[in-house]
Amino acid sequence: MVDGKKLVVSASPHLRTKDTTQRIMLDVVIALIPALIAAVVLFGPRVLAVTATTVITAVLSEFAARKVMKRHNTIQDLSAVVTGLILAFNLPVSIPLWMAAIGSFFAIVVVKQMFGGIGQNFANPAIVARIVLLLSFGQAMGNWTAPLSWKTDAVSTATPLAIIGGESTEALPSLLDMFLGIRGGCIGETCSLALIVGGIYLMARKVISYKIPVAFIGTVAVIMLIAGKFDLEFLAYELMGGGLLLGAFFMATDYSTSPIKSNAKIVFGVGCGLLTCVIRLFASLPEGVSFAILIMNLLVPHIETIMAPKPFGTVKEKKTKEGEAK
Amino acid sequence: MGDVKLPNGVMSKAVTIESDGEMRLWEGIEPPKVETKEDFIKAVRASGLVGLGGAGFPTHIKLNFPADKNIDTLIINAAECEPYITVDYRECMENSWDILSSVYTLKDILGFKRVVIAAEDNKPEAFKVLKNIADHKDDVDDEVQLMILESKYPQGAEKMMVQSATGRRVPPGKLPADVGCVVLNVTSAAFIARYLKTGKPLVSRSLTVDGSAIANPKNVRVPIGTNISDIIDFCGGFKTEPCKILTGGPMMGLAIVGTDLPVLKQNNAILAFSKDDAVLKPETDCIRCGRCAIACPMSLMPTNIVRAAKAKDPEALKQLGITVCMECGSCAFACPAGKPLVQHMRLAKAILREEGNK
Ligand code: SF4
Ligand code: SF4
Repeated sequence: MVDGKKLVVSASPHLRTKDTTQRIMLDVVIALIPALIAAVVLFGPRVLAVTATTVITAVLSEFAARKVMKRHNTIQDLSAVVTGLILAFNLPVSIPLWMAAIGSFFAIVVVKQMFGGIGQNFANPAIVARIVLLLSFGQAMGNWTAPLSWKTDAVSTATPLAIIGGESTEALPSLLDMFLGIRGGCIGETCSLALIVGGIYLMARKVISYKIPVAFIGTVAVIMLIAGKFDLEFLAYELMGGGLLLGAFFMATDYSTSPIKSNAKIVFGVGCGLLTCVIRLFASLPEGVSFAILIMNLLVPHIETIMAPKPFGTVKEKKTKEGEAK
Repeated sequence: MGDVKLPNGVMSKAVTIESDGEMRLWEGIEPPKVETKEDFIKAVRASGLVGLGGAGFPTHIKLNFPADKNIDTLIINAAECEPYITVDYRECMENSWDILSSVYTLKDILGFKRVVIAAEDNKPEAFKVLKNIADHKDDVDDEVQLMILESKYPQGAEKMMVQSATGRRVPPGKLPADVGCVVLNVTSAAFIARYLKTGKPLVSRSLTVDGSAIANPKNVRVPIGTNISDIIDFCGGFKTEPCKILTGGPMMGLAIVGTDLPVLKQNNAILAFSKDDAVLKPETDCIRCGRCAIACPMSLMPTNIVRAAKAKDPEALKQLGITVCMECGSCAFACPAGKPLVQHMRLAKAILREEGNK
């Protein structure tokens, strides 16, 4: 006979996947590491100081916020680490560390925890923090250090998209330099190679689906191809410039702030791409990615309602319903 | 006569039968006379047959569909309903004659135009056996067909089966019969043939005994009502201390509180797990990863249903289609945050039911 008290009684199913939130977030961290290494090579050891600042601030803020709100501690799920990393990737290397810390605190406390923590926030914390920093400290946020100049005296430079936009007369970096990340820009956005490697890793591990990045980048490609009158070189600069790859692979795919179902994901990705192009082409801001993702974040609940999937076997009822309404 | 506790915790009246150790058939048992459809249904009813795949739905009700329903397809479900369980596979291997005879009897008596035998692609031997049945010489117009399905939980679920076999989708709240299909588990089908031949009612069944805590996992045939602890002893007892014991499969089975319980007709497995397999990971916050929605065979969005249920919003629940949820557990299996989603689904259904009662 078996002593019934020792048996675990729980609701079905009795098998569970071995995946955990922590493992998923760890995968995201792993996927970001190539870009981090590239950034250290390109922009010097200060990259590590900025990254450490945002990551540590993010984790401490999460810990403190959960304590104050009397909720269970969540720092072990690593999502705060991811937010810290992504925020650092969206900052120029020369940013004063205290500004980076403020951004990180803001991302975690105001954008994430005040809306209920992981899975509940409607806007991407790192993006909102970046935009807040941009609006408050425009000067420091627009101070681009030339790549590979950190061993000598830091030289400032302009970003490729600003050069294309005619705001600077500097020479454009070559396409190979663009691919390797040897250009002005935020810490983690310049090395296309590293970002693509990270993105492929995430897709291979099934952490993200290909739908959002492909729809996003594809839309930008099509529009820029037409806008550039089929100039492939222009297209390549647009695709590798700004934060497009970082945004498409790592920020637009954030679970909390993107749709769940595949068709809604495609709509979301296309929307991000469209807005990015509109901002890049018509507004004075050359880097439209953050704003585009933010706007689409806010639209996610609407996209999901409109595109709600039909439960199995449901026949289309729309017509009868409209009929009733009349 | 006395009270017996059933695995789901309910007390029930039961007769305790003392065995004389001989296991002879009673002389009065004889094959039923079956000439018409009515005779047949009566016979099935008298046999006490229920869906042996796990649902336990009385078979005579399933087969006694009104003529105006236009039922044209019989689906013989040989896809195992859950991981671990192999009784249907053994049935195919050992009792193929019964399956064959049952298929043709059912077809003739109930007038099905088409019979589809559905098997999973990971059971090549069973496939061969079933292929012989489908290609039998009596089947002149090739009305009996074999269909191979990808082996993927919950392939054995009726609605999934109907869709795979006929392309028809059973609407929410309806039964396979509403789209012209009847789904019958192979083991149940084989039993019908045996009953028609011998008249021996459903007094025993086969079940899988498995799991990391069982010393000698095997399939056994036991009289219904056998005490679960006797069955486990027969399989060598426990090799490690069991931490969780289930009747039924790992996805939809019931965790039981002890082993002093009887086997019921619809129990297709007894699984016992040691500590490593039984302890579920801790529940964390939903991260909206969407894996539950990808996993759901019914195209539901479990995470949104949880939200609507928390908000006690019956309108939203209806919109989200909670009623089609078959509690298969796929969503909860896939959830990295360890959410007990099936429990949430049951809760959501309860909210809707309450609303309906108002
Ligand atoms: S699988 Fe779990 S964590 Fe992911 S969306 Fe569904 S309920 Fe949330
Ligand atoms: S239990 Fe989960 S996966 Fe299965 S039908 Fe219900 S919601 Fe879908």
